[in-house]
Amino acid sequence: MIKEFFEILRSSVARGLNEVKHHPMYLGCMVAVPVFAAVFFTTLLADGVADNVPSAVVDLDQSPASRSVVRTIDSYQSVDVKYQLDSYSQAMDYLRQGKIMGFVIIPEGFASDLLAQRKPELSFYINFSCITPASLMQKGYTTVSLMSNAGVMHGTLSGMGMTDSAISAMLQPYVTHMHALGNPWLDYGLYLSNSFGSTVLALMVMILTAYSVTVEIKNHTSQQWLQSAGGSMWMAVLGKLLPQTLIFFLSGWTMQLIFYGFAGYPLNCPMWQMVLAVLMLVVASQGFALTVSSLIVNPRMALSMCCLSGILAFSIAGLSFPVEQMYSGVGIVSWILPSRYYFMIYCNQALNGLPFAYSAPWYAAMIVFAILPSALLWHLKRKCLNPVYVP
Amino acid sequence: MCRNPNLTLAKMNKLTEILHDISRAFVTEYKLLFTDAGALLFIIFLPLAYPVLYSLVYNPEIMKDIPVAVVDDCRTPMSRQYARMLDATDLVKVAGYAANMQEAKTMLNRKDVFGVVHLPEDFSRKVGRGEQADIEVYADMSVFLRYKNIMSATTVVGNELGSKAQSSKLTGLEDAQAQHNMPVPFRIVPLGNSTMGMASAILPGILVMILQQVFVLCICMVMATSRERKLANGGIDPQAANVGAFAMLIGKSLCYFTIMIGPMIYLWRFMPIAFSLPQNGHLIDVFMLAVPFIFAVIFFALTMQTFVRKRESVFCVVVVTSVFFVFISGISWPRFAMNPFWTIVGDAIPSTWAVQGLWGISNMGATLAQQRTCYLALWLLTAAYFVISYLLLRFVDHQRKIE
Repeated sequence: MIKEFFEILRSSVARGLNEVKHHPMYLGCMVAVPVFAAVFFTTLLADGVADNVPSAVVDLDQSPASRSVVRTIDSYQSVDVKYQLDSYSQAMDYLRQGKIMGFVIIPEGFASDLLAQRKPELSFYINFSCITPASLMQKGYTTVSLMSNAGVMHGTLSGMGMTDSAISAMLQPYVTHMHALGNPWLDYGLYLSNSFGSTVLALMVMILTAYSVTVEIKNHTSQQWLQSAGGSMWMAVLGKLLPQTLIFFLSGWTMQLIFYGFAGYPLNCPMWQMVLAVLMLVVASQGFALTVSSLIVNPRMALSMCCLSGILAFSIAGLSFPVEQMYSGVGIVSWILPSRYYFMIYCNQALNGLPFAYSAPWYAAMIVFAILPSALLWHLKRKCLNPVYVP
Repeated sequence: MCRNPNLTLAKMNKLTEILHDISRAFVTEYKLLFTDAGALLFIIFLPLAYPVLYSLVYNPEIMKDIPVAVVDDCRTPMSRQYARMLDATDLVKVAGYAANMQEAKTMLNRKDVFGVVHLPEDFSRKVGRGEQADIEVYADMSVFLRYKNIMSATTVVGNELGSKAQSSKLTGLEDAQAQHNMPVPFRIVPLGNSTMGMASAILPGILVMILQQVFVLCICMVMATSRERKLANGGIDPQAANVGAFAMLIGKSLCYFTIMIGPMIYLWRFMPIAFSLPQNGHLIDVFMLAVPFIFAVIFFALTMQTFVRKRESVFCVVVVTSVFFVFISGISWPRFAMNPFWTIVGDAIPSTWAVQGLWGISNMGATLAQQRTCYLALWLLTAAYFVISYLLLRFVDHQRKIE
């Protein structure tokens, strides 16, 4: 009995392996794309932070005081003053051409207004079309306006006999210390690679699973596929998907080695937890795609459904816009995607280094994905026995 | 001047022949497309559904009331005021007080809160003494936007409380200049996306990407189907127009140009209206930018089709590349801060220029003249991909036919 079982499994796996061997596209999906994605996301950003946002200054005052403001802005790391322009309209022109991302206007009479206590106002214009550099500029400009008078003040106050520490307390009574947990460098690449890289892997798993299962119907080989597994749908699916699971898992592991080894991203948990997570991600995505393909046994529809959910995962899984801030009806959808669970595990384990118990439910949820299709295999079997290809 | 009438006639004949071939290719392509239910489904369904799905995700635009915990070791009116002011901001809400950092950490781990604000014991004492008081803020980094909110909220509240403390101290001083100028008043004017939201920033780019990928998919799919027919019929596609590479390219591109105009207007005009995305530019400029973009996409697709030869693999390639094209176009990460290698790769993709151009025109209200770099780059790409697709069709595909 057991011997027979292994005999069937062996012949089924052999067929699956053969399939992988004879389709270069399979290896492309399983190895080339995931590894490329890992390299792409780790190298896309020149440095992890968008420093030196190109900007301009319109100094209508041309006084020592206004020049001191310009110097303060230029000294700030996140802003690079590339141009000194003459007018608002010229600066607007540069902004519209995309040469700069923002500019500062120092009004005419800035210095004299400052002395006469007429409260001159600095205006910061920021192009918010691209959020990342815009928010960096916003932060930089706010600090600049707080600090730009600090030099002048420092001189006045120390002339009045105040000590340095008293002056800094006067200038900035409250100091906010930000602690970015797990990513103190605010490295965007770290965040991008871990979340988007793994979602690319999940997408590839779903595409290939849906394709390799439904292509049997398209090519009218589904009966032969079932025969090679002794007529058992279970065995047929297992034989086809096991080799893919293994290769995908190795690719996923390679991706993690690129992230945590080559790129040096933080791994605040034992390695096995993330390796297990990527294995679960592969299996869960296979489960997801197999469920879809068993429901809709049409190559193009199944593939479309898997592609659609795989692509939408980039937005809906809450990688960049948090799920709890979405419309409630939309946020719920995120929980039917395996990528979401992997992302939660990554945040808990690799990023924050929490105890394993916090992520245990997410690992368990991915197992549910893996066993979900077993309830629908009877439908796939029926379709395999009577293959009808609808193009 | 001596003219050879026969030569002119021959030229004329040649020209009519080419024009005839082009029109044949044009009509055949229409027939091929409209008998291909799969490709048609994509052209209609994808542009209709995708932008709506994306808008549903990003339309909340900005994030409000990120929950944070306060650990108040100071317990004075001043520290309570800080917590109240923090709660009063749009950006965060005080979801609860924690007795100590250990409890706050548990709240953080359970995702009840995404940040912890720690006010130390000597918080108000230090201010009273004229020293600098520290505020320790710990933020969860799993999603950058949450960090941004927590950082802005605590900075704003710290500065606001600070300037109050300052003015009360400065009134005691005699120097009038010092009293009034801290800090220099300022205002920040957000342009191009006045809500500073996600949808207005990301969706214009997504709309460009959808148009490009849908038609690359469609064009490659029709070509792949023709190739499958060739395989079945011993190297001949009975339904294809039997014309030269040049006429075929021109005919096909004209056909797809006429078809793409509809989805383009829907995506670039009606979607921004439906979802109140920024529309600050002139409509003419938007459509003028679309012309070279559409041609660039068509010839880009006709180049790609040489490498993608099966209907199903077309699908995979288009889906996978769209992920990388989105990032390379600078939608989420600005192009000036990219690795130079990827900037160059991005230069070769039509969507990169269209995203940058559309951002300039629709978001920033630029004219086409101000976005001429993008406009000219798209024409350049059109020319380059036309030549490449011609050469590929002429030599590589020809080679295959002989084999």
